[in-house]
Amino acid sequence: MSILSETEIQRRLKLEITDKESLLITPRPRQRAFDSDSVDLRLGCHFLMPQMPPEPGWGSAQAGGHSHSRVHVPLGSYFVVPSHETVLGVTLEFIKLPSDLSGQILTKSSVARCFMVIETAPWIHPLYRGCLTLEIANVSNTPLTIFPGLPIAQLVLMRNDNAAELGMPSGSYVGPVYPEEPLKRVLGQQMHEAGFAQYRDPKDGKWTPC
Amino acid sequence: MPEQRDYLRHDLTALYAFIESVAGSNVFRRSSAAYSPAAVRFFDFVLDLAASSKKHLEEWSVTDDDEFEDRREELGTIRAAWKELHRFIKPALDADTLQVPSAVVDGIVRQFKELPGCSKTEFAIFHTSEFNYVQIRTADLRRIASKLRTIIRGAPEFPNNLGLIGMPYSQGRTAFANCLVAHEMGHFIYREMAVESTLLTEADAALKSLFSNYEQEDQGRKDLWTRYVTRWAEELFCDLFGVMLLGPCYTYAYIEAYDLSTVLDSAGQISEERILPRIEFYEKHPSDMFRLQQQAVFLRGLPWWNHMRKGSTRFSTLLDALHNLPMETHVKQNPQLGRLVPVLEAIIPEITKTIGRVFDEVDDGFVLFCQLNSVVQDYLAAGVVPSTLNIRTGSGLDEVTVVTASPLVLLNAGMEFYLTRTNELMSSIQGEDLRIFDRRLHWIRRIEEWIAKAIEDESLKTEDGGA
Repeated sequence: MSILSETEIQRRLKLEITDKESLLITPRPRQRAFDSDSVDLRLGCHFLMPQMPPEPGWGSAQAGGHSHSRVHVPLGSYFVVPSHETVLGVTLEFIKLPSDLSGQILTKSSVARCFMVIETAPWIHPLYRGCLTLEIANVSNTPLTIFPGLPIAQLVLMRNDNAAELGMPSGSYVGPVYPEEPLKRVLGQQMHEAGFAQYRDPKDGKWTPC
Repeated sequence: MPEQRDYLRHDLTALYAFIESVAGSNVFRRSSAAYSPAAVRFFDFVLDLAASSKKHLEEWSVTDDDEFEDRREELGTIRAAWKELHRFIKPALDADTLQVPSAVVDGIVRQFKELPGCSKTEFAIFHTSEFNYVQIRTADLRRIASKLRTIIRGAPEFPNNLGLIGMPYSQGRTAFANCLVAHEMGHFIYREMAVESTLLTEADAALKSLFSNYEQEDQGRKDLWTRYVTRWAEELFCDLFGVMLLGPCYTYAYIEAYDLSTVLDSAGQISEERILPRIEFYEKHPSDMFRLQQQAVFLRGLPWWNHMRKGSTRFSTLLDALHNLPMETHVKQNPQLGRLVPVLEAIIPEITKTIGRVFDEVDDGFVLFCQLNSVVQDYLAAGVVPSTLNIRTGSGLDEVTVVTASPLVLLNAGMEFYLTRTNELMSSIQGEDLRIFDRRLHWIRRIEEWIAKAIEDESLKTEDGGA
């Protein structure tokens, strides 16, 4: 596995979409977004805010996740993340990886120095196509202002030893342009998928078959 | 017994409370909603008007009972103005950028601004519970504002170059259906260019020529006929305006919104049984089928037509078939209003001519569409947002041009993909089943999201002035 240089990234960006080595980042980043081994990605316009307080009956462990409200911040406007708050954002750029590349997304150092973390699940699989959901957390003691178009992340691309099979991946890896909410699955179902025969139901604390 | 001025003070307080409830801080307090610049201009107008109205009422004094009638009328005028504005404020607040497909609407507005004299025009969107889109006659609001300015010192004028369009609340998350917004922009142009006066003359001439005893008819009846015909003509003008502004995606959106392709039978022929109920004319608009037929006739004269026929969708089959529907069918099926149909038909050339004047020297976008359509569709087929497109100009690695497509190209290529290649997209994705309804819905929504995102990205490029 080796990290792609700017030259190689630029070469692949010029290929036609039907070429098996084609890498796509759209809208095309400006020249200043490229570093010798990475390319900057910008913050998009859509956010999911954890609903506080959660809706009754939702957001509990039993229901399997949090409820979020959607927020749209138009280009030219801004968004304030209060201190110690989290929000799901999305990259402005839509990316498509070919079968022989994986990617990793990192917080830009200028953003990280403000104590803002933007990604806790940074790996991008070959063939992925979509905007990337950013788990934005302001871990500082002050509110931070962000805006669509802000260079917020760095994308590092790596060539795999073995290319994945060509073609489209399964549906959940194709085409999101908004931040993706966590899957809403009930606890019993998750326990079942994890291989347990029974689980402790948070409703009554009793052990229940999955 | 209370004096007259006490009654006035009471009414004044009630009016103050009314304005406060229509445009007070509790109405405008929205935590996370964002609005287009056009909507903000409208809200600024409302807030300025509310502030000046309230200040006027706060400083109001009545010292003489003789003033009663005049001052009473003044309060009535102010109240009437606020009652009119009441219709739009909350629906406009509901239509924040999350609740309307703002990227698509902005893209269509960008196309609109290409028209001569329209570069500064903006449209604020409000939600409506009606099924149809509506355009508000801003001239009426301008008149109301002017009237208030004669009463209230410092009252603002209604903003120049600002249109108001009502969008069915149900269309908040769709992309292609909102091509119908172009029709409402047509109404705006119709008023701004005073098209009605030309068409009135034409309608009058057609009535005189087609109705043998026209001059002897009762004036009230003649006025009614003229009113019907000019209303219908306005609707046709706006349809053809939509086609000219956006190309065939307008017509496709029209067919889908009104479910018009259902008049075709399984062999792709028009079913008489199914079409007859769809050709009823109404006082305010011609039948949906007549309107669609005129769009088909108009499209035939545009370069789009040959391309549309090549696509051989059910929609293009319908347009082809409608072209041959005799005018007599419309006349026969409308016993009350049918005799006015030939009058309308007689003024269609004038409508077309006027459309030509509106779009004089404006690029119809067809050449660019032909260059980029297949590339945009390749991107969509690969599950990719077609924001910036690589166009190969030679065999060398660097012989690539990076381009962006206009909203017109994106909407037409996207609509064509949606109509003809959704199955292909689904089939290419691991684990998808064409027969499962909610998966199809998922992918149709994805296609619309990709096109909306590409349109939004195109605006970013324009603002950036570069990559």
